[in-house]
Amino acid sequence: MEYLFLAVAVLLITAGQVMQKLASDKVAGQGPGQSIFLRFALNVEFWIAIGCLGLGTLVWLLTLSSMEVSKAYPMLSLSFVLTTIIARVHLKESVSPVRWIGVCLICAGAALMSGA
Amino acid sequence: MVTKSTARLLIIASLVLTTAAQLMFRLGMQTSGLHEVFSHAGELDLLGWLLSPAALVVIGGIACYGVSLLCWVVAISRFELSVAYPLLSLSYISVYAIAVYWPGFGEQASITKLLGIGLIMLGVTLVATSSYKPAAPASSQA
Repeated sequence: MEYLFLAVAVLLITAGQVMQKLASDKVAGQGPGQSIFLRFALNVEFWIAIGCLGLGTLVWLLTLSSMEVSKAYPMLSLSFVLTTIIARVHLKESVSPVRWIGVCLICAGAALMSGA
Repeated sequence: MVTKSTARLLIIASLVLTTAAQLMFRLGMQTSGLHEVFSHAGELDLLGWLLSPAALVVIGGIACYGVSLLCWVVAISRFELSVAYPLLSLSYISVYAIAVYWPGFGEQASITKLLGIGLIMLGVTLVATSSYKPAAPASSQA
């Protein structure tokens, strides 16, 4: 059960980061005119990002009710793995071989932690 | 925006506050967490829990977390993310050290955990240094 919570927390936190990126891309593309605060406030992606991060934090708290923090916290880095995959597949960003090696190391580290 | 030395202090503040936040989350949740609130389905006592000492620790953790994020956002206006992310991953070590050696937490010390943390930190460093070119303005990634 605690791994389900951890997975959902990572998923929500990653979604929040990707939505933040989409929000700031949209705001940057709008050019001057309105104030930057107003542009974020009227941005749907921005509010989805806030919602994902808030919910992600709540699920993270649930994770910590049944899992050691010394074990769970480093595994939050799995969000780097998901972000890389989303950046490659959805945002069509190019991903260097070194970054893929980093992704593999994070996965290996998390797999090792899960057995600790 | 801020000077480089202020940014350095803010990164350190962010590290310390993140560590405190994660430990407070665990401390508040392991004793009587939201977990307990949800497990008594039917007699959901969220208000009762919110007034408990455990909830205050969690709320304190959320406050630390918020201030930490604020320090981080200001600091990365002067720091490359390729440096900032690996620095932040040092908090895995500080959280581990306190959770294991402070009797109030009493978490299991283990070589496997340390090895896992080492691999993850190395991975984060590779991801960060390969993704954010030193020449690029770091603020665009915030």
